[in-house]
Amino acid sequence: MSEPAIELVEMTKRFRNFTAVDRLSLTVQRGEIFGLLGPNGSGKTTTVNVISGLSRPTSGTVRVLGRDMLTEPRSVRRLLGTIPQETALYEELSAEANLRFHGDLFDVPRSRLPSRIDELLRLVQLEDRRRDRVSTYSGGMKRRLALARALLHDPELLYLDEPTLGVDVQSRRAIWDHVLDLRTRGKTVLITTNYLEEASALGDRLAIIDRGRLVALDSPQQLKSKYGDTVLDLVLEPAPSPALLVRLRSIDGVTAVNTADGTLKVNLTGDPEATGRVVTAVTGEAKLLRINQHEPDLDEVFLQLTGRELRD
Amino acid sequence: MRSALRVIGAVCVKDLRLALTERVFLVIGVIIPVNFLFLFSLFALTGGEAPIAVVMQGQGPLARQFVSSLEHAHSFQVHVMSTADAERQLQAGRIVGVLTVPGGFDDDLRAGRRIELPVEVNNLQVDFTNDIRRAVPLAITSFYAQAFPDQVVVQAREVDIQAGDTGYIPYLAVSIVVAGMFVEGLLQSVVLTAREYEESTIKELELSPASRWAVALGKVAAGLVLTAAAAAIVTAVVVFVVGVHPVHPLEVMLYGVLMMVPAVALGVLVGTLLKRRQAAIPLALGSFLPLFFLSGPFGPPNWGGTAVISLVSPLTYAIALFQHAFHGYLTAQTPLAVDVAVLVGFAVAAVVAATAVLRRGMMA
Amino acid sequence: MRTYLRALIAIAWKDMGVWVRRPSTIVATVLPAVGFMIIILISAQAVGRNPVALVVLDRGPQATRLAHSLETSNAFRVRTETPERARQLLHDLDVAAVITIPAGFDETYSAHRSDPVTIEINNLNLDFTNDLRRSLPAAITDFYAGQNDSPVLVQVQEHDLRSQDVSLVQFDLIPNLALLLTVAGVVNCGLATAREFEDLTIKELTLAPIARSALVGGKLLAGWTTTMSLAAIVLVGGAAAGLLRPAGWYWLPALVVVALFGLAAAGLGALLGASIRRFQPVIAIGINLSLYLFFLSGGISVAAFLPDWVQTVARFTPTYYGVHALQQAIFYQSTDLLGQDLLVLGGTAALTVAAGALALRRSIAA
Repeated sequence: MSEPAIELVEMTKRFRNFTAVDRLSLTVQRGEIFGLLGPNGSGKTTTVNVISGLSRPTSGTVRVLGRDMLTEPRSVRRLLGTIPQETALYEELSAEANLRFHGDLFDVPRSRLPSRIDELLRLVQLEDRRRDRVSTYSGGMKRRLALARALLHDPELLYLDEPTLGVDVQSRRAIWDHVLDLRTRGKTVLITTNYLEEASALGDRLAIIDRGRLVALDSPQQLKSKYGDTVLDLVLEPAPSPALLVRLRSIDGVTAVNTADGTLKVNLTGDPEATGRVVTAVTGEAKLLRINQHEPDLDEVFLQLTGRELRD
Repeated sequence: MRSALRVIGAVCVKDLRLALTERVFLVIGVIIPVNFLFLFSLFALTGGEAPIAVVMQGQGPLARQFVSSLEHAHSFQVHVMSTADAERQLQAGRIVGVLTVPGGFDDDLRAGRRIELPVEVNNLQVDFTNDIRRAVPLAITSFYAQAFPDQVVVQAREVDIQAGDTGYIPYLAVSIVVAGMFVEGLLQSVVLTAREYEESTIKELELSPASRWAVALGKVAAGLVLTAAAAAIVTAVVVFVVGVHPVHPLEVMLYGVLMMVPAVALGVLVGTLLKRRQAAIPLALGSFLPLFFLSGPFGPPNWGGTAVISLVSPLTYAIALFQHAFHGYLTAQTPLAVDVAVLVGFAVAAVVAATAVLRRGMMA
Repeated sequence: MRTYLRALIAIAWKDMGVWVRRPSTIVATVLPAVGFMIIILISAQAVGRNPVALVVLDRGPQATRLAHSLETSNAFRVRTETPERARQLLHDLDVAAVITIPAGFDETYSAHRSDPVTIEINNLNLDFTNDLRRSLPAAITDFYAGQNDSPVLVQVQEHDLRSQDVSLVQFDLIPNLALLLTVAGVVNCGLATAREFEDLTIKELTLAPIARSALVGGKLLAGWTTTMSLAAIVLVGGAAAGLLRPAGWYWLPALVVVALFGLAAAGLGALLGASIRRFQPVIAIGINLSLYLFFLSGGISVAAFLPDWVQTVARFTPTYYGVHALQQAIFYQSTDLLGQDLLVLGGTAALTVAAGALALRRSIAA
């Protein structure tokens, strides 16, 4: 039981001439919520497809819950619960029929199936709609039903692909609560998301991948502090010249300088005098219209790591 | 094994439930075979005999005997009418031709004088026109052979191999039962499979530990149930409405299953490959017609000139088996055992191919 | 007006773009007509040309002459065999019948005694059997006709109603063209309409600041144009192959009929698509309906020779009039009943287009 939940070693996936994932190595421990972040096309989905056995790696090893995904895909799938982005529910059937079908596919003992369905429908608060066609549900209800379905066979590892995409605020909160509750029950959760707030709120550790490679792996807090304690957002007139950017980068205590959406973003270390030095440098060359100091968010971490915004 | 059976059952029941939610399509699908039976019977009704008007200017016994020969020439529906009516009908395109038996027909014949029979032909198309060009002289010779047996001595003496004649519609109806079952099997399974991809529910199957074989077989089983319903309806129509009672009822059931499996498996295969109902449904409906016509639905394929191409169609073997089950005779050059073996081969190949494609699609 | 036309053309252009990118739908539209053309081509070659084994047991001149009549007959594909081999071929279904000219044929013939030629038929079904039943007496007729002192004094004097003969393939190309037009119009326009509702793209159209009639017009224009493009291929191909060549100005009524046909079918497609709003039943109903219309317009036979009750039903079928008008114009250089045919087709087109437009407007409003 000491083996990690997921272990990727030098995993590469190529599609003809295109390398989607390039020698990716990472380990997800049992019982943690692990976030996988990356823009579209970063290799995030390919990685997850390999982990769930939907895609075969070109090279490297993939072990899930101590089993080799390549040789024992069926026994791994039995332990894996998934909420795909598309929810993949049979919309013409009722919630109950969807769950019963899933129970049959995953060979949930027949004697336990009715009570298990009751329990999960109660958990996701869909008891009163159990016999209605799924096509009549809202987006949030469908997501909740997909969660119930993923949990039906009591998986050890749960994979959630953009779990709250297109979901209203109330449902999002409810889904988060369910996910956090899974950790307390000892489940491992792998989550991919574009919502940084979500990744920060849920993830114990986050991996950031870009162009098929791992660019950072740590807890949200560590990631933030590692790539700068403070961020200054400055709006200047005129816009900063390249020479100013070079000068700012040479200032002591400045770890990074970027521009995004017309705002100059300067990452600083803990040096309390660094802010003053930056302000002096910019006001010598331009008019400072606005200044804001805050802790870095993951968007900024990502920008700093890759030079690109998360949703390019 | 137990869990594989459970998956087969679950996929089958789920697919049947889904099929029931699209009721209009289900009803149309189930009655497709009856539809085809009706339409092709219309064709068969016109196929044999052309309507022709006979104007009797001569009314003697020989003239009447001649008209009787026309009626027995297996070529015409003879309508005796006045000249004016005949002309009107001809102009309106309701008859193929007008044959006038001239006055003095009997006298001229007895006197050994040459007689010209005016035949006005509505030469709409050569096929029908040639029928008349062939059949009127034939009727004349047949008439001579009866009226003047010492003058026309060469006659045809017919010996039939089969105990009784089988009508064209009873024969065609059996071929259409096969065709109907095939298209229904293809259609339903194509829809049930393609929709999984279209609505992304294939993920639920892909991510499950269920064996791909079991999933494919579950889909085939659902298709079989729906096709069996259509088969039961069309068979009932053939038995109770058309009046063709199967000589070997057990064979009907056995061959029915044998026929449905490759059709349904082929549907799963096509559905997996096309992944879109919008493409798969019209293609299934459209491609079946050429296949059907090339498979010897109207008689042995080698008599009709499609012997070689018919070999690649499972319908050829199924039609031969069904003709035997219903009428008790062989209509193909291959023995029944070979027909059965070929159909089983098609079924196995289609299931294997469908499963392989399903697996490949699931593990890129 | 400019905005209106721009929207109408944009919708039509979009539908045509989608149509072109779905080759499977185009193939499926063409396949039913191809299927029926196959059967017509097979019929044209094979009907009445059953394989027959001929056994000649007399080598006299009359027997040889009869054998020659049989061998040159258009009704059979004859192979001369020994009695044993012929029996085997009949048993193995290699031939449909065995014709035996008996020993002593010439002697009996000369003695004016009854001289039967045996035909042993594998009477599987009446279609083949009756062909064979007709064919031997026909060959005997030829045998007598070829005789200098034929006892048969009654001869046929044929008068053709029309100046030219039309082959079976040519003749049936018209109902097939009608089938193609119907399937193309109904399925393409029906699919294009139903898909908007099923894919929810109808929202994009209804939320746009365009007249509803531009939306309806655009869809119908696309359905009609795609249908016409398929018709053009058949007409040009048919003309190039020499099968469809109306002389002189008879092209004009033929093109008008084709255009009205396409419009009526597109209107019907829009009606089905907007009423049902799900492509699955639209395709199934569309193809079934087209096949019924095809058979009732004559299909692979001749409408006028269908049973009376079917003809009565056929007279309420617009395709019946369309096929008639096309056959008159293309084959017989005739405008016989053209006014009536155009009136029915035009009326049908107006009716289906109006009904289709109404159904679409209602569905949008719903």
